[in-house]
Amino acid sequence: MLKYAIKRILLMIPTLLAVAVIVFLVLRVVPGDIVELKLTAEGGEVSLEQIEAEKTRLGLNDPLHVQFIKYMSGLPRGDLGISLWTEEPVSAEIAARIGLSFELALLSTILAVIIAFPLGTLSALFRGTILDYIIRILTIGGIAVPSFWLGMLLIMLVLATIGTLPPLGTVSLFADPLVNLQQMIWPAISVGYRYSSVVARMLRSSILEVLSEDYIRTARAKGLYEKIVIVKHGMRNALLPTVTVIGLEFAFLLGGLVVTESVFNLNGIGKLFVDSVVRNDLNLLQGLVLTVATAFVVVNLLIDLFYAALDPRIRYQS
Amino acid sequence: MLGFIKNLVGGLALISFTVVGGIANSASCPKSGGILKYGVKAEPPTYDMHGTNSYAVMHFVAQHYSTLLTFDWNKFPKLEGDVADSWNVSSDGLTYTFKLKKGIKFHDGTPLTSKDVKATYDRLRNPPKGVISVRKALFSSISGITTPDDNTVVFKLSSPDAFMLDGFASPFNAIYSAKDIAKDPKWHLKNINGTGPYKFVAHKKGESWKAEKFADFHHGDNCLDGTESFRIKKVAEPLIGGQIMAEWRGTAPPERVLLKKEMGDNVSFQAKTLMTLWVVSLNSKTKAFQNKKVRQAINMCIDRHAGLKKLAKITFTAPRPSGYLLYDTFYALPDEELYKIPGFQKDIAASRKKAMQMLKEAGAEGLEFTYSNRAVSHPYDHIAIWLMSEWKKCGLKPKMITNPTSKFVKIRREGGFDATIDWAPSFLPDPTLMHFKYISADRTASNYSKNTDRSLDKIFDAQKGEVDKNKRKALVHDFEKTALENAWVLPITYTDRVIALNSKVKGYVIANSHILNNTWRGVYLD
Repeated sequence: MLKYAIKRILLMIPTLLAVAVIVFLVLRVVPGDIVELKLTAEGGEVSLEQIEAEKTRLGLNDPLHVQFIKYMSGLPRGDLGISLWTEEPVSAEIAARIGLSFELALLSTILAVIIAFPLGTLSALFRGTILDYIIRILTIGGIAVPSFWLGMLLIMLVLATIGTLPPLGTVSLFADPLVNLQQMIWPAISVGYRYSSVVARMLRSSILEVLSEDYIRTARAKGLYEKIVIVKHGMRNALLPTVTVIGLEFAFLLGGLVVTESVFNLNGIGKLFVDSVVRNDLNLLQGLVLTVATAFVVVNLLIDLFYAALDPRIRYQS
Repeated sequence: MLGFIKNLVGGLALISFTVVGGIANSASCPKSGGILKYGVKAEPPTYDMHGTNSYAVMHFVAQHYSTLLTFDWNKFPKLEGDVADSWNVSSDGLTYTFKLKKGIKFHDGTPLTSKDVKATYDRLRNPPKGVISVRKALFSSISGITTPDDNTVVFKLSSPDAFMLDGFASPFNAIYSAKDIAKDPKWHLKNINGTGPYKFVAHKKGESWKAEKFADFHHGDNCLDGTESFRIKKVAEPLIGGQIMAEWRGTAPPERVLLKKEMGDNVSFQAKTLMTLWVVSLNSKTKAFQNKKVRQAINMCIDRHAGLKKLAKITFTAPRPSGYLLYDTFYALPDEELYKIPGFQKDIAASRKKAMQMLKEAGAEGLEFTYSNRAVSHPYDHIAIWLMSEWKKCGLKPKMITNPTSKFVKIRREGGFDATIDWAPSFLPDPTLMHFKYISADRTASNYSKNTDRSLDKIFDAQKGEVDKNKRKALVHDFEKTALENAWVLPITYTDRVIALNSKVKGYVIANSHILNNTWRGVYLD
C-alpha cells in the first residue's frame, strides 16, 4: 500500500509540471492588457510611455523565455509570482480565499452525502415504485437546476421570509460559528442540492448494477440476511464509483463556484477566478489554475488510495 | 444657474483676489456614532490616488485623505478650502499662494506643513520612476513650487491656466506626507496615511474595507464611528437585505423600481446628471471615415431626441442630447445652437434623408463597419443596441463586436475598430478638462480616433489660457461647433446618476460625479 501511495504521489509531479507549462503558454495568447485596464479603463490621460513603463516595471515586457524561466523557477519554492492587479503575492491572494471555498465545498459535500446516500439507496432498493419516481424527479431536478439560479431563489426566499440577509464579509467558523453558518448555509444548500442529486443518481445506478451481479445472487442463495447482502456486499462495491464522483465534485467546488460565489457575495476562489479573468491578471490566473489542478490531483490520489483500501485487487495489481 | 455662473466666475477670474476662511469649523453632526456600511462594485487596483482614475479607489480610499481645496457640495462647483485656509491668485494669473490651516495632523500624528503639499504636487506633476501620475498633463503649466514657511505654499505657473484653481480641488490630488514620499515614492501604492476624516483600519482583498473615525480631523464633521465597505455584485439585494446602507455609483431604473417596491420609505434616492459623457469615436485610419460627409452622416442617423428619452427608461443614461460639455453648464453650447449642428437636429426624418444622400455622394451607401463594444450591460449594451438600430435605419451595416474590458481597452488603444464606444469622465464642467480628449492625437493619449486637427488645438490652447470668462466661453463654443461638425468623436449621452440610500443615512449630498464627495464628511446615521 505504501509503495502504491508513493508511486501515485511521484506521478503528481509531472502532471502538475505539464499543467504549469500549458497554462503559461495558453495564457500568453489570450488578448488583453492589465496595465491598460488599470490605468485607462475609467478614462484619464495616460500616455503610451507611461503604460509601457508600467509594463516594464511589472515584467510584462520581458521576453517570453525570461518570464517562463522566472515563473518555473519560482514554483519549487511555492513562489507563484505577484498579482499584476494588487501586486501582492499570488499565494497570499489565494490563501486569503481558499479557506472559504474549502469550507463551502466541505459543507456542500456533507449536505450532499447526507441527502444522497439515503435517497440513492432507497431509489435503488424500491426501483419502479412511487418512492423511486419521487426521488428520481427530485434528483433530475437537482441536476437540471443551475446552482446559482437556485441561489438567487434562496436569496429571494430569505428576503421574503426573514427579511434580512446575513452580514457581508467573511466571518471565520472559529470566530463566530453562528454567523458563519448564516453566511454559508444558503450557498451550501444551493450547491449541495445539485451535488446530492449527482451523487444519488450515481449511487442508485451503482447499487442497481451491483445487485444484479452473480456474487449478490450467491450471497442471497447462501441465505444471508438481506441487510447484510445490501450493506456488506452491495454497498461496499457500489461505493467505488460514487466515491469518485464525490471526490471530483469536491475538487471542482474548490475553484468552480464561479457564479454561486458571486451571487452570495462570497470572497472565494471562484470569485477570484472571475476577477483574474476580467482583469487579465495572468500571474494570478496561472496560480489559480495550478491550485485547482493540484486540488484535482490530490483528490484523485485520495480517491485512488480509498479505492485501494476498499478493493484489495487494486493494491495487488499495483 | 445664476449661482453656478457666479461661482465659476469667482473661481476663474484672474484678477487678484483672496478667499479667506474657506475651512472655518464647519462641524455639523446632528447625530454621531454608528458604522456606515456601503457597497462598491469594484476592487481598487491601487491605494495611490495620484495614479488612478478608478472610482473604486475613490469610494474606498478618499475618506482617508484631504485635498488642498474642495467643493461646497450644496453650491457646487463653489470652491472651499480643505487643508487650505485661504488662497490668493496674482493679477497675472501666474502665482497661486495658499495659506494652510494650522494644526492639521496626519493619521500617524505628524503635523501637516507646506512641505507636504509641495511634495504631493511635485509627485503629481513630475512623478519619480516607478510612480504613475495620471494627471501629470493637467499640471504641466506649474513651473515651480516654493514653501516660504510651514503654512504657506506658492505655485508658479509658466502661463495662465483657467483650470488650475479647480484642479487643486480634484479629489484625486490627495495630500500625502512628504516624509512618506521621501521614504519610498511608491509607498502610497500599498499604504495609507492621510489627514482625512476616517483612518484606515483594514482591507480584506476582494471583500471589505474598514475605517475608523480620526479624532483629530481638522473639519470635525466626521460624524460616524467608522465605515465598512464591501465589494458587491448587485445593489438591490444587499440594500433590501440590510447588508449595506448605500451604494454611491448609481442604480439603473429597474433596480430603483425594485428597491422602492421592497423598501418603501426605508429607501431614499438622490439624483444628478453625472459628468461622464458616452461618445462614439470614429477611427481616422478607416478609409471611409476619412470623408467628413460619411462621419457626419453616421452622426445624423441617430435620433437623439426621441431615442435618449426611451433609453433613459431602461438604463442610466440622460434623456436629452448634449454636446461635449454638459448641458446647462456655463460653457456648454445652448440647445438652440447645438440643435442646428448636423446630428442634433430635431427633424430626424429630414436628417436621415440628408444623411443617406451624403452617404450616396461619398460612395458609402450600405457602409459596413465594426463597432467595438465593452461587455458591460449598463449602459454599454443598451447604447450599442440602440445605435445599431439607428444606423441600420440609414441602410448602414454596423457589426457589433463585444469584448471584455481588458481586451476592449487594448483594441481601443491599438485602433482595432472602425467605431468604438468610449467615455469621457470628468469631475467638473471645465472645458480644459473635458475638451482635452478631442485635440490632436499627438497631444493627448485619450483621443482614440487618432485624428489630427491643428485648428482645434489652437482654439483649445487659446481657451486654456484665456482669463476673461466671456472670451473663453466664445472660444469654447467655437471648439464645440468645430469638433461636432468634424464628427470624429460623436457625443451620445451623459449619464443620470441616481443613488439609493437606506433612509437612516443622512447628511450626504450627491455630486455630479461618483468620484466626488466620497469622504463621508457630514454623513450621519439617524
